[in-house]
Amino acid sequence: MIRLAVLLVRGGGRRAAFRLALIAIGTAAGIFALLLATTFPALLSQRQDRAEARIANTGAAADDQGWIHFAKRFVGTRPLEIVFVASTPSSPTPPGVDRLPAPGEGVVSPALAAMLDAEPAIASLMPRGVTDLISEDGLVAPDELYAYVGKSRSDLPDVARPLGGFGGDSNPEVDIAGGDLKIVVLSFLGLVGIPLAAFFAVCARLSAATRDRRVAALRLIGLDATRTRRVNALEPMAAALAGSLLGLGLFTALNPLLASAGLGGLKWFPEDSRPGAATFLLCALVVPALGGLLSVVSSRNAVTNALSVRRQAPPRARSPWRLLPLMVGLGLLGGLLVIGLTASEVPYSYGDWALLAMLAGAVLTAFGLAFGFSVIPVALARAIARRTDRPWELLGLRRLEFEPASVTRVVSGLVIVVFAMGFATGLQRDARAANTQVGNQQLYALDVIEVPPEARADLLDPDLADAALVFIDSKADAPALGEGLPPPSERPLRALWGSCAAIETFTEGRVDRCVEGRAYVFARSDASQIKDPDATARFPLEIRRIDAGPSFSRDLPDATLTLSQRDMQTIGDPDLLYPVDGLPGGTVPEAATIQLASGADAASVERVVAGVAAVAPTTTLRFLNEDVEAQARAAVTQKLLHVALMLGVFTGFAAFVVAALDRALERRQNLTALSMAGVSTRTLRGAQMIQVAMPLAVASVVAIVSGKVMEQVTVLVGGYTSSWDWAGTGTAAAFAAVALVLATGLTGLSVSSRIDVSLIRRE
Amino acid sequence: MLVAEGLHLTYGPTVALAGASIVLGAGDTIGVTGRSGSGKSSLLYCLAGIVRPDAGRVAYAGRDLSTGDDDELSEIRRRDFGFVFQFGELVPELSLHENVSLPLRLNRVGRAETRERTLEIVEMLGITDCAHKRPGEVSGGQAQRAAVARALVHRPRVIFADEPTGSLDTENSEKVLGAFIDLARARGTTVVLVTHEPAIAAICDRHVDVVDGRVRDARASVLL
Repeated sequence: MIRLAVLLVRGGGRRAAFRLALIAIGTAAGIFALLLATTFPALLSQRQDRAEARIANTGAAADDQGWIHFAKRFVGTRPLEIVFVASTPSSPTPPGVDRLPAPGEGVVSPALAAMLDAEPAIASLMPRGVTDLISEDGLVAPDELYAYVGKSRSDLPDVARPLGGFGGDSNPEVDIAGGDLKIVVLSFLGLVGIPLAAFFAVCARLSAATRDRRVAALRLIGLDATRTRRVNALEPMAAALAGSLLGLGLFTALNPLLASAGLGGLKWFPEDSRPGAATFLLCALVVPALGGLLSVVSSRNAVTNALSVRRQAPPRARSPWRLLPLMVGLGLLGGLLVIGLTASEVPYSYGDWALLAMLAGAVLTAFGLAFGFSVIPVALARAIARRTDRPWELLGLRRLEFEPASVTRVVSGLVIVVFAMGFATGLQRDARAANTQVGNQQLYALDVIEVPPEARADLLDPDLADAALVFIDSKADAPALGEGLPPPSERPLRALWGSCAAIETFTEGRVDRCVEGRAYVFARSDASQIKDPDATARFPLEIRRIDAGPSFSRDLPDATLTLSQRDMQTIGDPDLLYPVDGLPGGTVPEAATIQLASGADAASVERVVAGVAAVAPTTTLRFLNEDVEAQARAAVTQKLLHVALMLGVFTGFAAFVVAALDRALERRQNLTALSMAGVSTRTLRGAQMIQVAMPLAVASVVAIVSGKVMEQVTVLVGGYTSSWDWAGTGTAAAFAAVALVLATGLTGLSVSSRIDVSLIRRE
Repeated sequence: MLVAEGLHLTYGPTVALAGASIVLGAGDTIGVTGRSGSGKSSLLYCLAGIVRPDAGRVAYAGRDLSTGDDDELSEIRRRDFGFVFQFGELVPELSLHENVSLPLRLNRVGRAETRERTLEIVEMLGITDCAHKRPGEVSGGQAQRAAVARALVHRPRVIFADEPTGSLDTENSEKVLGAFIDLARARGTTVVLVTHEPAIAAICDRHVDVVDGRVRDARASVLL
């Protein structure tokens, strides 16, 4: 049987060799994309493991294994993590480090060392000299900025913890948020999986007509059905095996390059993405088996009814009812879109009904695109062909109508990819909106207890940030302050020391009647009635952080300052405002929290981060509204989604080109006859090109519209906006236009002006 | 009208034509026979301007087909020549009617005239009933008659037929050939008919044989 299969391939000459090469190359490209897609979840998990392995655990002080304090800085938006350690001879060591640094020493990642060499100004963020480098085992990524800095116990802040050991299972969010990981994994499987399936289907059907004729010939000379199927399947199986091994080899060879060049802003260690034994087995067994299976399925008609190959029944018109799921799905999404866009204000949530309607709309639309999309280009082709007088249109569109499967299958795949991308982008935008509040200002907070006493006053230096506020919570729970004012509660009262100018900076000018030097009780503008605090209710407030610092008292102010709920949240929900020059003891108490504000631009953020690091190197600066880390994670997610889309579109596009090329090859004999009869090459090219251009143009429009609607509905239902935006539409349209031109151009080139008379069938 | 002089053509080491010459007048019907590999199809392709000979010259109505560019040759083939192939080579996704009308559309004949002439030739060849069907849905004889109709519909001056009945049974072969030759004669069309059956060639006004790449008169056994 194998000999017969080999004989048939050899007998097929150049064309059979080309077909085999096409299947092998197609499979190799598909396997490469698949490996890349499946690598990401595993890669992210590996990085998670690396991060967990170096987590410092708290031990008992009596164990004398050293003390540790963790701080985070930012170089631009790149996080720089610093572990301050006061080590002892019995201190455990983290992975990748031979010995914890002694006071005055620093062990840093290679990327940080290079950065310190190149930009000495960064040294202000990392106040120790480098004595050693952290090896790969101790890092999450090769470009990570990480450092262990040695200090004496007395130099560490009071909040430093005794070191128990390294390694834990706290599941840190390394690259992307946990929720986003699911989006990325599903997106990769969907965005890359669908075009890959289309690709394999196309490859298995390459030269279908020729192979069907061969199958029919074998059946007619008496070969039984099973053996015929096997002979026919051996060719794609062998090609798929060669292709998958080629793809695997290519990925293994390029893995170090990919790892160092990075993808979606991520760089990684090559061993984290090296394919495992299971992957090898998958490629060596499953892919060829799949190729064989597809071959068996696609040739079933020729095997069971050999004579049908010579005679061809007219194609059955596709029922317009196939469009029903698509129409219903788009109707649901359109309805949600209208509701969202006509809402008077941005709701935080539309409720479960909207979510259910959105999911139903998404599923129906995706199903409709897969099941019914081909109805549109085929109906359009039929309608135009019926009316046209142009031979090239007639030839091309009738061909599309007669045999739409190979092109529309791939085109449908591409549409679904773009639609799924719209959904994924919408979900990701929701996640990003939930993590961050976009604004013009960057707000920061730090606990004064982590700041050395002599440096605390410097944190209020006007050069450090645009504005500073000092918060101290009361010792007692909040009393009743008056009608319309915050009610009594079991939370402490929050007092704020700051100037009216600082509050104006934080609220971007939305403060009325604030007199500098005066104390106020804060009132919310949404309260139904606001009265000044009752003078008789005046009583001393004992203000003290529960577990630290001395106590001191202040009288309840007798005036109110009204702010909106949003502005109150922006400045940290305080209850009381006192002038900044009235700080207890004339300095910033260690029980306080300091809130800083600056512009949200990168330079302003960097100025504050560097300034705080210079004043208080061991202090962690928290980002309040614009979480730089969340943004960085969101950016990684977004880039990964784009990578998935690119891979998907690349695979889909490759499938499209292969399908179009195969169609052109299958048609060569027919085209030769037409050429001989005087049909010009221009006409033949036009006929070939319109077969590709028309469905692809329709698909592009449907894809961009449905994908954008899906994205927008997801964001609207998420409750983070009530307006339409065109973000990404221009890029998608440009991309579609380029793909259209490329695919159409390549198809046109496949038509040669040379007439090969040997292609005319003669017996 | 169509003159070939001293045609030489080789495919690698294989000599297809070795100094073949032939002169065709308007309205001539010429049967070309020869053994397999004798060069008869090569002669036909050279005469039609599809294959350029390595040496020699083909002239049609005073124009040298050996040197014309692709557009020029395409136009001649489209307007003045018609082709019938052994297996019809109809476009499978077009109906027989659309296939037949294709040369007229390519020559930008008006819609009404295209329809009228197509219906006329379809009726003459007896395939009106199945004209709306696609080639895959009709018999081999009907498809081949459609191919003949396609070759005749635009009223070409020369028709090249390469084994036009080679795929048909005797009955269908006679029907198709009879209709083909009768119509061609009635319209004064020159016909070059390549066949391996001397009986079919005998229907033509002239009968030539291709032997070792050269043409000779089959009836007179004289090299031309």
